[in-house]
Amino acid sequence: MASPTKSKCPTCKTEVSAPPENRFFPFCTQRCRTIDLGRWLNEEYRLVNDTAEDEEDGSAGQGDA
Amino acid sequence: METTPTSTSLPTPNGAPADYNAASITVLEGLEAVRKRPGMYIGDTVFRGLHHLVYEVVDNSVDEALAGFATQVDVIIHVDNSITVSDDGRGIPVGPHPSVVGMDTLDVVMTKLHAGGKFENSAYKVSGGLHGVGVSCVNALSDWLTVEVKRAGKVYTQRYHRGVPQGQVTEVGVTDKRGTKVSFHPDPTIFESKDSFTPVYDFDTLSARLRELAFLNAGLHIVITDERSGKVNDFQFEGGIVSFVEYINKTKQPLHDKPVSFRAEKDLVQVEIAMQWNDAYDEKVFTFANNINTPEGGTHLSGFKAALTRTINAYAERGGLWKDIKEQPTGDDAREGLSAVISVKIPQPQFEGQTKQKLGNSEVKGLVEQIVNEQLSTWLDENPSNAKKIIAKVGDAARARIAARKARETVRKGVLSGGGLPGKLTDCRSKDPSVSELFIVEGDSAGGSAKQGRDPEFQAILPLRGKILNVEKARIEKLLSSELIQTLISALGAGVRAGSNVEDYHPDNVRYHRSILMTDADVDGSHIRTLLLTFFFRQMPELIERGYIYIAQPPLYKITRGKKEVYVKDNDARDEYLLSIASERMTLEAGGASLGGAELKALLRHIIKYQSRLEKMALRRDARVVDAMVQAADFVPSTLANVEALNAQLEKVEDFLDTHYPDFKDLAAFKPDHDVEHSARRLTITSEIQGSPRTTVIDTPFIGGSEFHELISLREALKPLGAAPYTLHVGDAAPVTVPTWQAVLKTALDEAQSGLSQQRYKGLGEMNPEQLQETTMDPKVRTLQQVKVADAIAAEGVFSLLMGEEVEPRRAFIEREALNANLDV
Repeated sequence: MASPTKSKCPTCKTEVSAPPENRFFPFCTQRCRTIDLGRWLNEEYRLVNDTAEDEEDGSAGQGDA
Repeated sequence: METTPTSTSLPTPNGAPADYNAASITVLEGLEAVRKRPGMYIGDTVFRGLHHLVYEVVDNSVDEALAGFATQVDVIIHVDNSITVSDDGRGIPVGPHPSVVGMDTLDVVMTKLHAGGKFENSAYKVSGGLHGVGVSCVNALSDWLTVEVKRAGKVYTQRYHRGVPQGQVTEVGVTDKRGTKVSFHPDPTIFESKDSFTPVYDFDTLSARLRELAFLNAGLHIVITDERSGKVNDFQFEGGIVSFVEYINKTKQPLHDKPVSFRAEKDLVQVEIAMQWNDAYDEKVFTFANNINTPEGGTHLSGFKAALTRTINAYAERGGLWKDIKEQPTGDDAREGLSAVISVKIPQPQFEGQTKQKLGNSEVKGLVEQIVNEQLSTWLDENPSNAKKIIAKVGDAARARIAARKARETVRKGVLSGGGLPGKLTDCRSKDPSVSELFIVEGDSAGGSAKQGRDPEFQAILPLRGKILNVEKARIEKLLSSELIQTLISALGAGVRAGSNVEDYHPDNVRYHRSILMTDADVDGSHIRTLLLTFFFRQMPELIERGYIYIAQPPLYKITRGKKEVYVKDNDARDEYLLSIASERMTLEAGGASLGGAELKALLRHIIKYQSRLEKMALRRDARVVDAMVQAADFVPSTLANVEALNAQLEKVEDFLDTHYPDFKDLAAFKPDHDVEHSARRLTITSEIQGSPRTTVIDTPFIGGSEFHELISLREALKPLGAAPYTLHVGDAAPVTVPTWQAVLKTALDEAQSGLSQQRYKGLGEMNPEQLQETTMDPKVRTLQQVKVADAIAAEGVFSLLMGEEVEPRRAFIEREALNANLDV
């Protein structure tokens, strides 16, 4: 599972190396980590479900697939 | 200035330099005061003051260069720690001084404080050496000093001891060169060795200042030689302060390839600015007035800052580039990662502050401001791609600053609110993190049950709700509220790393070595889990690395059989349970033998697997057609090459569909066409699924592909069932004959389900405290899934997908997820 592929900094999308060389992993720098923390605290991270009608109809109507 | 210059030497105000001669020199006062209080004149009598002596002499030479008369300055550190500074300028004037009776002008320059052409703007339009008190000060603080002047074809010299001339100015020879050479040795009675200080010149320190001077005066050639070590530095920069900025940025990654530079002159004030942003975060803005570093800034710096901030903000606003930033980026944001040099040259600089390191001339501010406003806006307009990078960088700086502040406030608030533990947390009694567990429970009602069902000794409960926003119809956004994140951080007690202050975060202090996420088994629950895992992975990765994060495994079904209750955690576990019951009760007749027990159970499992593989294909093909191809026919890649063989197989497929899928409707006859790429036929079947057409392509790649191959392998595994139809014996009842694998499975599951009841838990809240305790919380019976770094990375991937702007991949993912969830329901 743990593939050694390069991952990208969630904030600035530059490639980052893994720990222990990179103590800010999964970010590139403390700053990008802080920006991310600020986004959490500003409620900027929202998961979208744009097939939301399934929620209501799905459980009742989904038949015998 | 105490003396009025004689009329012959009156400076032309603001004009070109007049003659530099004896009359330019104004005499102020003696040198006694300098020796009494050297600190007042050169700062101190240790490292800084010692080196200051050299700068004072060099400044005179640079002034000659500024005035356009010198091109090269040489500095030599001799073995005895004495210094020689020489230039190719005009040479200090020699001859009787016009106002100081009986003294040679050279003598006056070297021995009288505040003597020098710099006090009149005529000889030097601008001059730097003013911050000190001239070479006379150096003379006063040297136990010996010699000056040699080459001027008007002659060479003059004079020697001094602690500022006192040791004889007259003497003409020693002739020359075709010109210039001034000053050699001196700092007086050891002034610069005493004490503590860790020994009065020895440092090559690198002098080099740094000389390099700076070479940058500030484009083209000026400065060479420093250390005779003690043989080291030489040769400085000459045609690029001037542009080269300076490139030098400052040389170890950094610049954001744009060439520094931005401006230059302007107004009312004899010259302003030069060069600047370049790099990808680092520190601000390196150096300011100079008349070559003198002004580390405390002053009017030139404040003008620059004001204009920079305004220009950047105006540009970004015009482009609507910072819509997401809730407050205006500040000057600090604009200067993050900025390297800049501001150099002003001005006829009468006013230095302020205790150490005279701040420029006071008020007229400079407006001029600098105006230049930056105009020229930087123009540059931004003309370099849109660079401008974009800079604006993005400044925006990030603002976001980071706002985020860091928010994070700091959060952390501080958490600490200040009485004991630091949030009110929502029901803590455990134990204070030993290694045995303590925190259940992070979705929903207040489940939280309530968990509270009652927990072991208060070591189990703490934190109920949480995901926040749901109905943004538009059919678009629902789910998020963790800011309050929730703050509560979580406080409850965990490890803090969080807010800004550069690493001390705010102590993973060692985490209050629970097990944080257990307990969410509902629905889409909401999985989204909340994804959010939480992503948060942990990004902001507290140590907790995951150390194995402190777990996922609870609440049951999805309760199955009641007579008096016996069984909880199973998912659909697979439920099927497994049902298959066990079925295979206990029934047998299958195949080829004269009778299959039951474990053997039958294994076969039923294969049918389930077969069914689920078919479902997975259903998005791209009509699964009924594929089912017929596997169960009723025998397709191999060569089948498609032979029309007769193909037709024979198709007949079987059609029969199977007619018999077992009576509602199957082909919208066009099964008609093979040519697939020249594979020298075979290709079959395109158009059928109707829930009212809409579905195209199924049967071609060589599909028949030879791994998907189909897997189905064929399952058919092999199902060989023990024998050929259809299948005869089943259930208890003592008459045998039942069924035609397909699916029917075998259905019969088995129906039989298993008769006489038992199943309850599917849609949410944790449907379980009462006892049930929650005995299935999910009690360490003796529960199972926990420990979150590994790889799981967190996967959650991050899902997170990005669900966050993403791209609608299609997200929709595909959710559909896939929904399909998996609905399977076997």
